[in-house]
Amino acid sequence: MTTEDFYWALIDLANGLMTGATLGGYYALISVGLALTFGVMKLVNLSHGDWLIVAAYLAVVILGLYPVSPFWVLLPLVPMMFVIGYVLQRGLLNRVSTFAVERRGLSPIMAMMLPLLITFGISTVLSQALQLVFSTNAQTIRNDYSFSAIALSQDLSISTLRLGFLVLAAVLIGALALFIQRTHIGRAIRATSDDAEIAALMGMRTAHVYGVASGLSLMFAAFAGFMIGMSRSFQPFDGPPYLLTAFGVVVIGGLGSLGGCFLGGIVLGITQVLAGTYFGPAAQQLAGYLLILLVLAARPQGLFKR
Amino acid sequence: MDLSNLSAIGAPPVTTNASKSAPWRIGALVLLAALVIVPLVVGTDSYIVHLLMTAFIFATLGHAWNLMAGYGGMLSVGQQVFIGIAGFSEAILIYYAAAPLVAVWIFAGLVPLAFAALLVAPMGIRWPLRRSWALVVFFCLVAGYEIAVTVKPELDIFGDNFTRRAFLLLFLFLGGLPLLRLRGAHFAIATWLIAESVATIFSGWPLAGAGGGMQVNADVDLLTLYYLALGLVAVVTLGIFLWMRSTFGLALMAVRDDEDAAASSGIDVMRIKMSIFLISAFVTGLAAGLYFMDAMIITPASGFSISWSSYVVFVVVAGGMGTVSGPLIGAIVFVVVDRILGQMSGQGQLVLGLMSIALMLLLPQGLAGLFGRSMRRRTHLIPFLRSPSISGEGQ
Repeated sequence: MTTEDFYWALIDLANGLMTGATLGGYYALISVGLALTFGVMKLVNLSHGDWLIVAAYLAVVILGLYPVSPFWVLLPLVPMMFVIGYVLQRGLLNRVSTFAVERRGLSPIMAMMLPLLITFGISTVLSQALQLVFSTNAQTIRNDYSFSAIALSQDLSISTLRLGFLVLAAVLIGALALFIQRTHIGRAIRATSDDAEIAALMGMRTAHVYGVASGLSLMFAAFAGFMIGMSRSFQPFDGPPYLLTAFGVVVIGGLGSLGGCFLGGIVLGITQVLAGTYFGPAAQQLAGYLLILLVLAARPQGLFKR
Repeated sequence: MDLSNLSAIGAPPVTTNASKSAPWRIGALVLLAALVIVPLVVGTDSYIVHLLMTAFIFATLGHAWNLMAGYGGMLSVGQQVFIGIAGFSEAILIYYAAAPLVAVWIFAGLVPLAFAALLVAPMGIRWPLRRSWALVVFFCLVAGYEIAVTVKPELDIFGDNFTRRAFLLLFLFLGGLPLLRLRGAHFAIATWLIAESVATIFSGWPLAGAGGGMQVNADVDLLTLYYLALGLVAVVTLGIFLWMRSTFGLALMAVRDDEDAAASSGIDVMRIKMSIFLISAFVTGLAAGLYFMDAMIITPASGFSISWSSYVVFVVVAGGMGTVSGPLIGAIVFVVVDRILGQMSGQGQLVLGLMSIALMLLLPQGLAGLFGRSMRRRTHLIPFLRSPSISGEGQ
């Protein structure tokens, strides 16, 4: 091996690690909503991926109506998704929570299955509805940043957008953690997630608390969907891969932990990018899935928990 | 407390309702006879025959999923992996070997069965040490094959370096994965991930059309397919009806309702789950084999589509989870909604999704639950939907 070969191998590795790490921020933002619903309501929302795509389409629609700079779209989009999440939880998902299922006299196994089946149904409905409205053409949020990169040295560079999203993810997840730690409703969310029955006895409106948690979850889906739309193209049926990735990140990071999402995202991102670098682009997705399966099987409590 | 159910647990279950269910048996025989002569009445190439065949296939798929989810408590959203594998193995056998129809059909069931066996294999071996030895042996075999291929390229039956490596390593990996230990959402997501991983390989495999799909030229007429599908659904329905009344069925439902309690009363939980998983894969493969002989074409996108899972979920949820009649009723509703209404509006799947959400909210017992309590008691011995602890408190 000559010095030059060695140099290029090193550059490949450095690029892979850097791209993977920035991809980690992107994955963290995709999965934080799922982690929240899982942590608070023990609900695995199988339609999470499709809500990201819904948010991306909404962003395209809003920008089509008001052609402003793309970042302004977050201003209406984020509250909109919060409201959708709140209404969805109060109107639909609260009816199949563990409580509600018990109250209806159904068996515990139904309490496990009904939420999964319902959210799976929502996933089908969302993707089909998107296809009905927008057809299957790939869409994207047009912007000037997609191809710009910051050059670190002659052969090393980093995508501006990805770096921006890494920072955005860190800020947003930090803000969410502060919100849950410091505010009144945040304390209510923590109390309900610890023991919903006792929280209800203490006078908390658990239905409302669940609604807020679900709203926050979809609020983060709005950020993530916007980010997906900015950095790549999307189609109505793109939801499931994002759900699988998000679930993987949540599992790797330790179920329901917000900081874990960040670490999990970075681990998954680096694995995928390195697999893509060394075994070709087809291996990228596969390596991610295999890592998730491995963690599910071997360490279902997460890589970073003892 | 419901005393009839208690006695059902204690007594030898096969004989409990033997005399009472006589009208049902006669009804089932009459229905079967009617379905046998339908093609002779309406004409052998009629659209009705095709619709009925589709209903039989989806009822069988529903039975296979219901066996796992409804009776076993294992919620899978990855049945499409068996469907895709069945379709592709069928297409490959026809294209490369020109095998006769029955051989092709059985093969379409056996390959998913083998794949399922691979997925549950680690659970059959109790001692972790031996399991790791098996993995080491397999890994050495894979490595040896890799070396052999570099020396003599014609030994490579996969036709592509990446596919070969990904294929063998994925299968090696899945062989070591203790899939059945996962529960609830983890199991669901794991099955989905497995389906997606296998689909990734098939979508780049030159031998299987390199993502463009393959033709399934089975050279079979609709009437044969109709009778094969009818026979399959009849045998599977009868099999499940009898099986769920045996000690095995009771043990299975005990595992579903409380895995730890079942294990501590001496039920071999892993053996039960393994058998259910294998049977489900085999039946799914046979049904999918018939489907693709009729569809005549398979692509990775159609074979491994997540839509399969949403169809099957609809079939079972609409009919009634954990009941024998559920998938049959659900399949009829499915054909009416998806194939008849759906073709008029072009939005079959959207309607199916909305209907399944509504049904789960309003009628979690499914349509089979509508026929009243007396029938429910006959169709499942241990009540699936009523929680026994509070059913007597007047709630």
